[in-house]
Amino acid sequence: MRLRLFPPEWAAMFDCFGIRVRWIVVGVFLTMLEAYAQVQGPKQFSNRVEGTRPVPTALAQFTPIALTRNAIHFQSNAKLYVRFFVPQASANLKQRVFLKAIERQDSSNYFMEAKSPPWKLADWNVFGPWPTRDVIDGLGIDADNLAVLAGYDEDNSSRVYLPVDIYEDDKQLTQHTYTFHFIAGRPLQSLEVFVTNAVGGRVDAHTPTLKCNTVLNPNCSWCKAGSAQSFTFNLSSFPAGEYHVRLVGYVPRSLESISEDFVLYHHP
Amino acid sequence: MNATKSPRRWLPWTIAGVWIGTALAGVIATRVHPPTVIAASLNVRRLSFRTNADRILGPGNEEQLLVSGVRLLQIHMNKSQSVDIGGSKQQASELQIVGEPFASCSFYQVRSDGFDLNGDSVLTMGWDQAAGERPANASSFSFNVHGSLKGSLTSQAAAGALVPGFTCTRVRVNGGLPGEVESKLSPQGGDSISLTTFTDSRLDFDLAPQTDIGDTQIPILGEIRFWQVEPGTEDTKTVLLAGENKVAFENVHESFTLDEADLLLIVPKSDFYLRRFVVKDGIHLSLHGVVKEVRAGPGAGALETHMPSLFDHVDNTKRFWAVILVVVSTVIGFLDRVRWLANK
Repeated sequence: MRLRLFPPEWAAMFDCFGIRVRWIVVGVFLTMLEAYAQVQGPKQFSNRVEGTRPVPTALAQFTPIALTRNAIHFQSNAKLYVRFFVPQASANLKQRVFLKAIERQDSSNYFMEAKSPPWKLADWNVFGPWPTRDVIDGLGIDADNLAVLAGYDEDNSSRVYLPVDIYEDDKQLTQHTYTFHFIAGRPLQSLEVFVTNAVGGRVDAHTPTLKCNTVLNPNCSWCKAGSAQSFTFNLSSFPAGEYHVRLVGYVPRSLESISEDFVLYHHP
Repeated sequence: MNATKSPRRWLPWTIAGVWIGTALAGVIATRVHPPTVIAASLNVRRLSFRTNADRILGPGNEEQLLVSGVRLLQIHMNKSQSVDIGGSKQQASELQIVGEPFASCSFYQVRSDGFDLNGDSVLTMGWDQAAGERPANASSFSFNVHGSLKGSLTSQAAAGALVPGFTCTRVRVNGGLPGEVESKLSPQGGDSISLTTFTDSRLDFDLAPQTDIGDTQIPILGEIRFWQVEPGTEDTKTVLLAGENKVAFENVHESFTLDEADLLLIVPKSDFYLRRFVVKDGIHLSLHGVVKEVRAGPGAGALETHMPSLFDHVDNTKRFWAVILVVVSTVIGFLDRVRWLANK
């Protein structure tokens, strides 16, 4: 009498199981593929890299995050364009021009970096189309929370920022004032903004006085560390060229102050 | 003849199969890390997570509450006050203030009763080391919200140099032009303020001494990374602070303690809660729920799983398996005794 390990109906079941195993392997492979696709935050587009990644949150004194002139309040499914003027500088400047975007107040770790097309020197450059449906709409990023920063690094390693216009239709380009967005590295009771031209001459750019009410609370804060702040100033009546924006902040409950100098290229 | 030879032929294979199968199962069991329940106690300076909580933060007194991203503000004052609207003074007891993009308001000497959240929100809490000289036990706490926020405040009575009041920038008052507005509130307190924010807002609290801010039972929906990225270098840095930073795996009765310089990643599976948090010399967290993954390590490239393996789970239930073994061997013994096996 021959002993069988499995009755015939079991063998049939295992045959069937063998087929199922193949499907399970395929399923596991597809699941891994999907998981891999989800983990891969940044997506490559023809003109940019866009997606999510951890963004810096610890802080320098002042971290510039956007310098804009026109920044429209777009709805979902918008096709954005970004315009900025690149001055004539050193010959290899084209490789050092950058255009990037993050969230003004980070919640999704969003970022976008424009790939370097042949940027035109001494001319306006238009980046786009930049469809919001690709990434921005999916992450639920509001127009007011999108911070776009352009600029270039000079030979002496200093950085020059270029004000940008963000629009869907160039008829929307009506603003003349600049808005500078930054993240403060320390809590500040007040902030002074000074604008000077390339030779150090003081420029009346209608910079605001930014301070909290010390009558209500002698130790009040105008802004807290890590918070995104902004102020506007107007250079529209001044000639094209480099300008220096100097920020001097005063820390509450202290005699300490912090300051930093930023260079921008203004083109009316 | 066959009947006597067959057992000898399959018996070694069966024994070898059992040994190999057991070894294989052991190896697989040590490699597989099933979801499990954790209870974590951590002290951090920053925490970011997604939640579907309806309400956040318990009541608290604030010397200053700074709200960025104010969309709508309604103020009811018990007595008419002199309100500075864009540089001109007006008497008013009721104000309706509408925020422009990037509008912000500071409220002084107020009590908050908690805030309502609308739908899924991403919350980022931050504790900041005191700037300048601060009184003992005072602390500063920030709260970023991606999602609409609604709340109500009540002014407190003046205390020494602290006067109840508010200032707002980039706002329209009663339909006027955008600008600044500021006013004192009733010195005896009791004025009420209700506020709604835009999708992205930030609350900064200057907490009065002896005031604890915190909350309980906040569901967490996505993964939590206990690190941040340094600007310029793009280096990852831990957000853990000194204190007992410990993760316990409840099902297997195991735990591990984190160095305060370690990075930590927790990936929830289901029913994961911020059981409690209290802001005091950091953000003290008590987390509890089922997780898919817990990784920790000295750097972003050296994160290793601390999840108990399937083997640990089985090992933890060894009494159960022992009972099964006893039952099976008893059954086999019984069948052998009644010669049922031999007949087959």
